[in-house]
Order: sequence, then C-alpha cells, then structure tokens
Amino acid sequence: MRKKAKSHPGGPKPSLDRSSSTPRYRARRWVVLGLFALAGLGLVARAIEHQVVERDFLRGEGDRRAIRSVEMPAHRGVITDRRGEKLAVSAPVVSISADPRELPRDTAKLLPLTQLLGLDLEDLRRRLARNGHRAFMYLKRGVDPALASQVGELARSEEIDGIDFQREYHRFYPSGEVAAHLVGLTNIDDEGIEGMELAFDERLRAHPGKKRVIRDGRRRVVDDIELIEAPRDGQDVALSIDRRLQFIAYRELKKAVDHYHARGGSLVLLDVRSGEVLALVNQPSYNPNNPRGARRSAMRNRALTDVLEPGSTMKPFTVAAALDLGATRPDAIIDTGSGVLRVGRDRVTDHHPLGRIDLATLLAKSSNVGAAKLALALDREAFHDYLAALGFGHTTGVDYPGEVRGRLAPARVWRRFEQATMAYGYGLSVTPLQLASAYAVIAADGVRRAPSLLRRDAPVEGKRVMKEETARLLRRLMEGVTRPGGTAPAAAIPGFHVAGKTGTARKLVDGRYSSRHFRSTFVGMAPATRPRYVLLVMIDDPKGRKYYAGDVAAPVFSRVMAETLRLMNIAPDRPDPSAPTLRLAALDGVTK
Amino acid sequence: MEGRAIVTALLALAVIASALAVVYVKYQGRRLFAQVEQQRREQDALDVEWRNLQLERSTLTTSARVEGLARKAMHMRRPKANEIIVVRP
Repeated sequence: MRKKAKSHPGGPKPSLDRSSSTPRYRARRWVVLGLFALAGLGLVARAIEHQVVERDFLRGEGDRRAIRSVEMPAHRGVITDRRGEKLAVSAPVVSISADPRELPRDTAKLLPLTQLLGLDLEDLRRRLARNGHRAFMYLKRGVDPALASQVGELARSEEIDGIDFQREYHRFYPSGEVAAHLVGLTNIDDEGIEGMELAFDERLRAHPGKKRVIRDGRRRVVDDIELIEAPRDGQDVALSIDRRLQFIAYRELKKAVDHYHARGGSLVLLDVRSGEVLALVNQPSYNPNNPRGARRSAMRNRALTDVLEPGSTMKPFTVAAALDLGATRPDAIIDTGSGVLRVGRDRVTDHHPLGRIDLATLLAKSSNVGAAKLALALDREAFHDYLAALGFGHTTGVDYPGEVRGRLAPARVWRRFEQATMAYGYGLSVTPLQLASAYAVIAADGVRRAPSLLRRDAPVEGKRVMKEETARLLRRLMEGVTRPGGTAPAAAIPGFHVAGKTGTARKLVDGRYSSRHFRSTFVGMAPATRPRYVLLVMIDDPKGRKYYAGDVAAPVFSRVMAETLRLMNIAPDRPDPSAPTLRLAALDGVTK
Repeated sequence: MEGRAIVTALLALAVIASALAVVYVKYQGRRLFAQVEQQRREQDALDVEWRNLQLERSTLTTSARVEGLARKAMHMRRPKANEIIVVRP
C-alpha cells in the first residue's frame, strides 16, 4: 500500500486546472466519489464485522482446522528389586484407533489391514455397525510399534482413511509369576490395581504433557505453538526383595506345594538387621503378563492378606513372655504330667506324655500342656500387651493394600481356656508376615524393627520389646528343634546353627477344628549364633500321609535358607571340622 | 528536497530488506523445526529400543535361565559343604 501511494506523486497528475473551456462534470464527479465512498464504507463495515463482531467465531474456526493440542507421552516409573533388577517396566506400544465415519464404506478394503493386525473381518464389521456413528473406536490396543508403522504404511498405500495411532505404554513383568503378588498389576490404562503397583501408584504414575501445535492439511505437525504442560515421567520404586532369593524361594515353595498337593503356601524371608523383606512368595501364583485367565485365589498375596492360627509356632513367645514377666526361670522344670491339663470344662492335651520337662524340651517336643501352664501363670493383661508389642493384632506398616491385621482379642474378654490355648497358638490369628516379623525380634536380640517392602537405605532404630538374654536363650532352646530328636531335623543346614520352631495347626473347617486339614509352618533363623535371616515357610493343607511341619515345611526352609546364606556370603558358624580353613595371613596381597 | 528523497529511498530499501529477512527467517524456522521433529522421532525410536533392550536383558538374566545354563552348558554344580574353604580374617 505504501509503495503505491508513493508512486503516485511521481506519476502524471489528473488534470485539475480550472480553464473554463473544459466542462466541469460536477454532478458526475460527486456520483463517482459517492460510489467510491460507499464501496469503501462497505469494505470497512465488512472488515469490522470480521475483525470485531465475528472475530472469536472465525478465529475458533481457523484454529479448529489447524491448531491441535497433542499429548506428549510420559512413562510410568520402573519397579526394581533391591539391586536394581527390573521387575516391572513400561515399554511403548501403539494403540490403533479408527474414525468409523472416515473408514471406507467398502469394508472388504479393510481385509489386508485386519490380516496384518490379526483381527477377524466379520467381527470388525459387527463392531463397525455398532459404532458407525461414533468418531472414535479402538481397532487394537497395545500393538508393537514396528507392527504399527507397518499398518501406517499399509493404510497409506491402500488409501484407507480414518486410521489413527496413539502412543501408550504397556507394563511388562520380566520376572513373571515369581514376584507377581508383591509387584502387582496395572490395568490397560497403566494405572496400578494390585500390589505395589497400587500402593505406590501416586509415585509411579506418569503425567503426560500437552502442547499446542499447528497441523497442515495432511495432519503433519508444522509448528509448535506453546507447551501447555511438560510431561513428567513416573518415579522409580526400589523394593526390598532380592530377585535371586525371590526366585529360589519361589522354586522351592512351588516344588513343595506341588509335591504335597497342598492348597497353597507362603514364604517370607526377612533381613534381621534392617527388617526388610528379602523374598515373599505365595502359591498358587499367576502370570502378571497375562492376568486374564488367573483365578482370584491365585492373585491373593496370602503372606499379607490371609490369616492363620499360628499353632505351635507361638510357643517361643509364650516362653519369652513367661521369662520376661518373671513367671518362670531359664532353668525351670515344668510338670506336664500325663499330657492332659484340665482348664475349667476344657482340656489341653499333648501328643505324647512328656512328664517333667525343661524349657528346651518344651520347645523341642512342642508341649501344649507346658506352654499352657506357663501362660496360665501370667497376668492376662500383661500377656496380651507382650504379644501386642511383638506386632500381633496390628498391621505391620508395610503399606501393602489389603494387608490384614490378624486378631488378638483384648485381654478383658479372654476366658481362662483362651489364655491357655493362646499359649500354643489357637484363639488368635496372624499373617505369615506378622509371624516372621515376631521371630525377627528373637533373631535381633529382642529389638523389633517394622518390616519393609521397600529398600531401606538408612539403618532403622528398632524398639526393644524383649530382654536380650531372653532372646538369646530362646535361640539356644530353639536350636534343639532342628537337632536330631527335635520336631524338625530336616530344617538343619550343614555348617550352620539353625534355630526354629514347627507348627502343625489344625484348620478351622465350618467353625470346627478339622483333624484332616492342617497348616504346616516352620519359622526359623540362621546362623543361630548371630542371626542374619528369618525365614517362614507355610504350607496350607498338604494332602497325604505326611503333613507335619517338620516333614513338609522344614525341608523347604533348609534349602532356601542354605541358598540364601551361600548367596549372601555368610560365614558358617558351625564349620565342618574336616573342611579346610584359610587364614587371611596366607592371602595377604591377594585380597588387598 | 534532495535529502528527503535519499532518506525515502533508503527506507524503501530497508523495508524490502526486512521483508526478505522475514521470509528467510521463517524458512529457517521451518527447516529447524523439521529437524527438531526428526530428532524427536529418533529419540523416540531410541527410547523404544532402550526399553525393549532393558526388558530383554531382564528376561535373559532371570535366575531360572542363568541357573539352567550354568548347569547344562557349563556343567557347574553347588560345592559340597566339605569343599567350601572359609577365609577368616
């Protein structure tokens, strides 16, 4: 415009001289000018209409065609074991969607596409008939990115319109069923729905970003306009478990459950010094990469969500309470008589009459009468508080969704017979993790550290809930259990002192204690002189002639614990005298 | 009069130059944006590959597989208790 205006002054000027010889055409001039003015006004009015009145509408229309806000994908945090091994990884996949209104009318044209995607054309036709009026429909979700780009090329070459691709993430679990219960699951929208995926969903979750872009007619992005929200990847979560130990535990537990045709089983391995859970497995398990066919019962994390009556595995705590509360002494002799104790109208019985026994025999031979006598000598409030301090009746605080707290009735409702049965593990219920954690108190010289499913990077202060001498004495007494003549010689590990306790508890079936269904538990620790690990093995309802914990659960304990000690490089505390020992002096210069 | 004409001419030249510069810068912008997009796609592809490699590594290093290989391919076995030498400090 400016250039034109400038060129005028240089050009020939229209004649405007006022010589009387030329007609003035005054009226005509006004008419022309008037028309010009009108036209100009018209333009201005139209401009105002567009620029002011219709401005928002027009701008909206323009933006709608060219400006899009697109999602910027972010990925969910990785779940690792304590050593950084990946337990759950999100890998990108592509979801292929279609706009049914834009798809070719002739559905036969879609045949190569359905073949490539492994879809059934007939099925697709039916879905199209149902969703024909909608603007969006998934063709297939979670497709491998390479396949998706093939689909894109095919759609271009076959001129199939209306196909769109969305980047999504699919969760993969490389350890499969080995760590399924603990790690948990996500749904197809990448939200945690089970286990740690659910518990730490907030931390793991990805926050996809958003940006506004300009797209051309062929839907290609030609320019970024603004970042609406930057994408944020989810944070990683490191669990306390060790994948190697988890695998060994899984393998051995599965072998035992299969061999005894048991209904299920649980295993918990704790690090005594930190309270961390090093392995936690259950049977039956399921494959988290393909959870569709999994039964609900296989998805339960029994070690945390199922309660059991601890049975004889409770006895060490009864003995500890009696010692700590002054009701007995380490060298006490208890008369169990003929193996029958009358409490009111009820009776407590032993398998075999044991007569006069010391505390070591009480545990090694697992005397119900002996334990009941100790418990009955205690003040019930004090006994209750002692058990509560060990963690019974409370959730362990591990932050696992659905963890139950078991049952420890308040002391005021205890009847005398209940106080007696509690001594040998009936009338209260605990989770396997609670029980293992209580044994860790004995292993840690009487200090309780809350268990953790997350890796602990700093040492935790424990709380003393048992006298140190009591804990040490109990360990010595419980070593008798794994020696020949105890209830579980099969739990012994060559080269190590092992302390532990068996429990073969009758299961409650329809409100009555069954004489055919049992829960066999072995809880133990090694090396018993300075324990590093506590391991609980529980086999639920083993079928067949062998069901005693010493036969069923103890061998699993022995194998898993032996492997753990070997992998973690723990020196034997009872070396084979024939095994050669090297003194470090001989290795000077080799290790340095 | 002379001076004003020169100024006008210079301004006209400047206007033309700036117009051309706008075109050039816009072109550069488009070109760079295309490059950025290209790089982003590449980053994306590498990310995909990295995650898949992570998965693969994780799957290949499962204890079950490693143990099987150690036993079968390399004929390794657990040492017996009397074969273990304890090094005491």
